[in-house]
Amino acid sequence: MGRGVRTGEKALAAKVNDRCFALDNKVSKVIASLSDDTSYILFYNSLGILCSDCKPMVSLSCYCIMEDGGRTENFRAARSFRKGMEFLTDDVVDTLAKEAVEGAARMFSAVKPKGGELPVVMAAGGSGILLHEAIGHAFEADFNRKNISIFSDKLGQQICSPHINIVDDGTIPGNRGSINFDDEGVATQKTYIITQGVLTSYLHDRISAKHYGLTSTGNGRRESFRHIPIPRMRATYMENGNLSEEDIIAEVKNGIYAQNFTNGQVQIGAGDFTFFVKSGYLIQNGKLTQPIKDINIIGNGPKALSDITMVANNLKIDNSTWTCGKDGQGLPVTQGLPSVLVKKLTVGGE
Amino acid sequence: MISQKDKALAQYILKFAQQNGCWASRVALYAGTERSFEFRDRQLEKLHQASENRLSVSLFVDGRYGTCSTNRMDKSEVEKLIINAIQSTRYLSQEPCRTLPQVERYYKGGGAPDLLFDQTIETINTDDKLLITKAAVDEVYQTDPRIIMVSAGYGDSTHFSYLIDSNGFEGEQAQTNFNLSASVSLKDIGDERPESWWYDSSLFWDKLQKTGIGKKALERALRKLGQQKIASGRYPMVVENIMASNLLSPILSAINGNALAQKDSFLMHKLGKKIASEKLTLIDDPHLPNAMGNRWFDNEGVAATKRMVIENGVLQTYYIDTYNAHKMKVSPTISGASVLTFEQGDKDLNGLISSFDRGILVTGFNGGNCNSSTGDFSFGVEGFLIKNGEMIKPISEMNITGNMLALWERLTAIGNDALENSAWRTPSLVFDGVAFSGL
Repeated sequence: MGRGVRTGEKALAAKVNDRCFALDNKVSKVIASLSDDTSYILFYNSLGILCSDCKPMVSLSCYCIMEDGGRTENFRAARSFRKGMEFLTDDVVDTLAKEAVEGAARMFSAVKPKGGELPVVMAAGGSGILLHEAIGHAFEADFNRKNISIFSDKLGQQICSPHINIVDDGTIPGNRGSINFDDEGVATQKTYIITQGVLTSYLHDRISAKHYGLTSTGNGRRESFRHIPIPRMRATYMENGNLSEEDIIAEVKNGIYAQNFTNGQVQIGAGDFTFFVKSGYLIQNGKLTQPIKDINIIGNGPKALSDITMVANNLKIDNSTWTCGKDGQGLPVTQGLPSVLVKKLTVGGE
Repeated sequence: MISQKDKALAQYILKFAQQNGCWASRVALYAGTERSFEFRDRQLEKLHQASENRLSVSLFVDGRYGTCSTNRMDKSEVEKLIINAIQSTRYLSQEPCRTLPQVERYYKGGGAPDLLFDQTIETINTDDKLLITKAAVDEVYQTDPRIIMVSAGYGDSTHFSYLIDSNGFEGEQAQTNFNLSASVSLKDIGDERPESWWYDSSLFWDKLQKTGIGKKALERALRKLGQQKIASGRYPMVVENIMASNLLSPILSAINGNALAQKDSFLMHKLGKKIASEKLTLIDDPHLPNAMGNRWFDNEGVAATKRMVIENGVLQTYYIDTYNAHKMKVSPTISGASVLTFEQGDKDLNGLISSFDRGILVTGFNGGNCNSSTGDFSFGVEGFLIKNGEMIKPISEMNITGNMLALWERLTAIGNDALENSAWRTPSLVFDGVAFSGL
């Protein structure tokens, strides 16, 4: 039985709210929300596979609206885990409130860069959206089985620097994207999709695995009993390189440091992907300078991947409330990245 | 459709909620069926059918507000759910702004019966549906060596809803929907596999376009071959009618009561003020015959009436439901738009394009977002470079960036090609001086 949000726990959302107002007198509205779901699955198929699972999910989010001198800005911070309420400590409350308030405050001094092709340093963490959009979807094997992904002919080929390893991992304890088995009864796994720069595996459900004569990678997921399982990501991230973030930023004369993101999208066949940068910084002469905000970045998957020239040693999985949409089905996922330099992406601006 | 038995259950639950401590309550029943299938090349790839029944209850208890819903239409189970929900609602904070609408705002009946339901839906032969879908593939299958894949999908659905509340409102709506779509993927010179699609959608089977969908998808895919980004700069922009809703959507979100009450709207304090070019006149026309979005009342039972939304660039209304009206201490209007129509110009898309020496036609959006507080936006786009009135080159991997208020102020022309198969009947739109980033 799901037990629902208890009243003591409800007070946590109120704490986030109060903390935000206490942090800055420019805060005009806070929307703090807490959700606590548990689902129980019993799976049985004609192959005789019988398994059961309990899937908890608890999420806390804080959306802060701030007014200053007649201007309004907003910022959102969130955390989500397959855990119980034990993760909701005062520390989490403090961290979220601080992230949301500082984020909104920073927006007042933020500018839009001059648009065009620029080097982009993707900060560790939520920047994993680059992997999710630029290659993750295009590696989902249903698109490749149908021959419509830009990566359809690339299995076994070197597609990026040999220093790069990328995984889609369903095994991280408590992670929002983790599952014990997928919705076709296949045990979860850590799947290397790029090993030393070589495309080593697509993400399979049972149909695509059969098509390719392989075993499923456990990516057959569905939103609910109303939907059919299709290949979907879990937690997608790049393993560490050996540089420091400072080294990478120092290499850039004129570029962008992208830090917070709201959403992304990809065209599987053309390979063009986008993600929306809520906040970041300009990089001028190797240093972070002015904050930037509200710009879209667009690139092409294979080109962007081969343009990743530097990888730091600071991998961070972003545990925000990421939800991936495909064929009308929304699923919880996560993503992560160490800081990387992409030589060239098209940055929105005026 | 919704059975008399389920309606009787809804009426019973309304009374049951009152007897068990609710000051007021609202019960909504929904029933619907969706059927769809998809051909990939000439093979049937996917079959899907889903039916749903749902009962949702809004509870106003001791100045507090709660909701619950179930798909189990069993009286004793729903009773338990209501008792639990009433108890849970008592844990919540007081919300004096939550009330049912004033009775005089309700739809009182008397309008022409809804003309949104195709009575033939259950008599249409499945073979006929399969035939038109397969024909959409056959129109283009293997007609060009660059075609990698052709797929076509058909779907139809029924939607029934029944709404009652403890102030005496009772209303019912029924709608059907039919759609046919096709998509074509091509092999380009490099690794790119450009894809395009086309579709039609209709409330009625007889009015659904059944031929030409595959051909149109191929034509749109072929013209994308060789897409490239071009130099960054300010260009006049034509947005094709099927994509114009991407730019209208932030405006509609910003005039909604939820955003206004949260102070999260770039159109705060703009009622009666100029927010767009004089070219823009937008009307909400809920009773436009046979139009998608047509309705007599909203989700609170409030009568939907024709209203001017933006007149010659001046904002004439906000969409404010009962709760947000109380919160902001203003008069309510209605919870949201029904059928949106534009005052149109006199040129079709080709006419608009031919009037440009240089510009960009946007035929697709790719991601991006709009800051709801400030109206700052940045969207990925694709389309065509226009020179001397002609589309000369397909473009992609570019962004447009700006502010919604500044963009709509630079609306210079409106097409005469309003979409007829959508609740937002957008025509093609022309904006001047839009910042594109590319090379």
